[in-house]
Amino acid sequence: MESTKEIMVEEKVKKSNNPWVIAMGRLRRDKSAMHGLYIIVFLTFIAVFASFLSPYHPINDFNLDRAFEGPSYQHWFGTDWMGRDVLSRVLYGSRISLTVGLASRLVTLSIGITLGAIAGYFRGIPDMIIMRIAEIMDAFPNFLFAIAISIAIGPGLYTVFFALGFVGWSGMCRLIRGQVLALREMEFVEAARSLGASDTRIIFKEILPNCMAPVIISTTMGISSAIMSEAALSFLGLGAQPPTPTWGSMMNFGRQYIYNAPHLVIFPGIAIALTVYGFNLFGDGLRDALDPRMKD
Amino acid sequence: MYKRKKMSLILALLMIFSIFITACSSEEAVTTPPDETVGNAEASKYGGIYESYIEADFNTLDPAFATAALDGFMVSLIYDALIGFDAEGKVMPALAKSWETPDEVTYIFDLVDNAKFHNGNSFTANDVKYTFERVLDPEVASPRTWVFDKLKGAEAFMEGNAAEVEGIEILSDYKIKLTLEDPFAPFLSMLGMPAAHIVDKNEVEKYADQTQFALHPVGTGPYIFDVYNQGERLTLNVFEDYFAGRAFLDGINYRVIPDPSTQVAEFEAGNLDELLIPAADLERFRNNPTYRPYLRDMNTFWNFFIGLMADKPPFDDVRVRQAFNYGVDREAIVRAVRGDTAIVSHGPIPPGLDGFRPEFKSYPYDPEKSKALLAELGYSPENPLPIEFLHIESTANVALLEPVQAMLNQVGFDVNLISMESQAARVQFREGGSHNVYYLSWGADYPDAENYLFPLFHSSNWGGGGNGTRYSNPEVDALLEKAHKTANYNERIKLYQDIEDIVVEEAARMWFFLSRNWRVYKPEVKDVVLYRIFNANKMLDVWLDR
Repeated sequence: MESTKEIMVEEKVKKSNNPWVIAMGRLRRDKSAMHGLYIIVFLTFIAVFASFLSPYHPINDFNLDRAFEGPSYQHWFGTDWMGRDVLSRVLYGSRISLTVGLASRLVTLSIGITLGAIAGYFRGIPDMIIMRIAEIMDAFPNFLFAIAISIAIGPGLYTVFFALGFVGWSGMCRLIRGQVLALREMEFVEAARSLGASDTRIIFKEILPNCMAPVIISTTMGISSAIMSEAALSFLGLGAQPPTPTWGSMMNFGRQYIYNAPHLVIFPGIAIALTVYGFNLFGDGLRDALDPRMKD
Repeated sequence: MYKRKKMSLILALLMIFSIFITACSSEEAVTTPPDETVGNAEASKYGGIYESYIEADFNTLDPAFATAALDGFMVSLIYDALIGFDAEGKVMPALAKSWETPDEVTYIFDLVDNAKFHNGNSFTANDVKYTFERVLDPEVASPRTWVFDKLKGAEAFMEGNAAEVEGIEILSDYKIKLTLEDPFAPFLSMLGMPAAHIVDKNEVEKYADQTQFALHPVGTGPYIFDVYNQGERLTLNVFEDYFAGRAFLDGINYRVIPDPSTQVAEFEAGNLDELLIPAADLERFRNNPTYRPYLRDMNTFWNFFIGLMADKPPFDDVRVRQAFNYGVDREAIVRAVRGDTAIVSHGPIPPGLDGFRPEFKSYPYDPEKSKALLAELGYSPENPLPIEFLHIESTANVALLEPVQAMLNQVGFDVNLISMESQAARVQFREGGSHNVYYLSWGADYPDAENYLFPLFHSSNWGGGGNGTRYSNPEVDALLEKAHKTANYNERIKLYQDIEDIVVEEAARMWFFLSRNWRVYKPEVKDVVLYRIFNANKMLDVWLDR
């Protein structure tokens, strides 16, 4: 992230060559990034069509006489302690994971961009206040802070959105502030200002659109860590509450049966690993593609 | 870069595969019969620290407030009562070495003359009087007044009309006479309850704030309270001057380990001397020849139930309570989730106590009947009745309650499971909250059916007294009071069965199951005795061969 300022400065210089087109071309040639993208598209497809793809209902179709069955033709991923189909629960679980990933990043973006832009653009006292608050936030370990918020508000899915979104804003804020500080001195901003554009217009129309590359990278990479954190919070019982199927809570409850029914832990575990792997690959590729210093 | 990513993918797959291999390698099944003897005929040895664990922090170590099982168990290690219980729950002498009952309302106790408190003070009859009156004192506000309120003059004392309880009479330093208002057969057994454990007046009154005494307990018991770090550990040291002879162990180290999987892992790593085997791991331990000889099991008096808050809508309507009972297939849930660690419970009186009827059955699983009852009130699966279901946070509880939730949601309830940390949940159970339903258990304080009925269903015991569901039925109150005054044993038991009929008919709770405990010990742990009454084990039999 430390090189983002340079990225943007150089991006501006090459504006006439449309850097987005160049970056997308670079991205398409990056095989691992494309694999990451395929995984994300695949997961999104599953999440959207979970109700059509799932052979059973993840909550209502239970049969206590068929508890703890291993993988079979009827139940590809086996059944859990209530005889529920693990495959269906994993498929439905993708909805929670992706929603949490996106929603929490949206919270991060809204807070981070707003405060970062204010701090970077107006500098002075607003900058000082916002950055000191951000530094205080940074003093807390993110995950512990998320746990504290979850305990304070009470466990639940919306708590997770907020807790995970809230703890990440300081990083996003610092990133945006750095970008805005550099861009506000650029000629095109000066030009807009001399034409009489308002501060709001300059921030939203001139500066922020030019900060997007590092924001996109940071958001993509952040989704995977949000998904991991959601799994961890659910694992601690602070995420979505039963009977909502989430990968983290499935692992949490499956853990007590790990010796006699390891499939209860393994399949949601693979799902989490695959998702995080997909977002990381794609995020890596995006960073490479959007960094003009990376030449083929 | 691509190669490196490919390599990392292969490594990740290898890791997942290795987890598979490890997890799937179940222990070898054996067919040899279990060795019945965990203890043996070797000479008992003194010494050694017993490494054990507790699932949660205790709430209090002040006997007057010890209502949770863990608190009661710890109280019995640090303090003594006039009487104790043997493994089967029969009353035996403790601080009272003998007693006589010249008539049905009089008990004269001869006390031991060599018992000392951990601070060196001698135990005398004055301590007994102080302890019992303290529990009854309205200013102390103990939730266990019902243990002593049958003493003559107890009511006058509680109302502030008498300075002393008339029925407690000190005959000498080591002789005390207790007189009851009316005959009450379980009274002697009740003197073994946590609340009846003897405290030292000097220690209690040392603190301006009585909650401080709860953290600095001093009794006459076999173990001295040493160190307590919240959420971490509680250490007890042996009391060398214990009146009945010091325990074999030098001390007991209780680590706070809430998570059952961690408890199992710690035991298997050799860091614990004992383990209460979670239901999920029972088959594995039973089939493992390493552990099999050191396994012990016992049907407990712990009756697990789902409490239905009868003092407010919607569960003040008997039809809703009955619909709840009809809507849950307890047999299937207990079989699938608890396996051999539980048997289905049909009513308050557990097997092993007089009054238990093997043929007595409560509500069968009948979802149609449940739906019909809810339909009378306008609820259906499409228009469900929302209820808040509070339970103490644990994965084992959720594993058990999720099927309950699923079944109830199918008949027309909309169950919201709320897990709460143990101490916070207990406050809600005691004082009431927004919940409509809660999950808890009741264990025998003394082996008498009365203990499963009077505290739980008499309207004077609302809240912390035991009647957490705030059930109230004048007919049941009258029958419970009549039973207290009935001297004839068989007639009294018949009354308890009549009360059981009514509270089950009225679906005052949903009786779920009775736990069957399976424990495993390290080979060097000798002469283990399992006790049916939860606070009867004073850790005096067990010794370590190491």
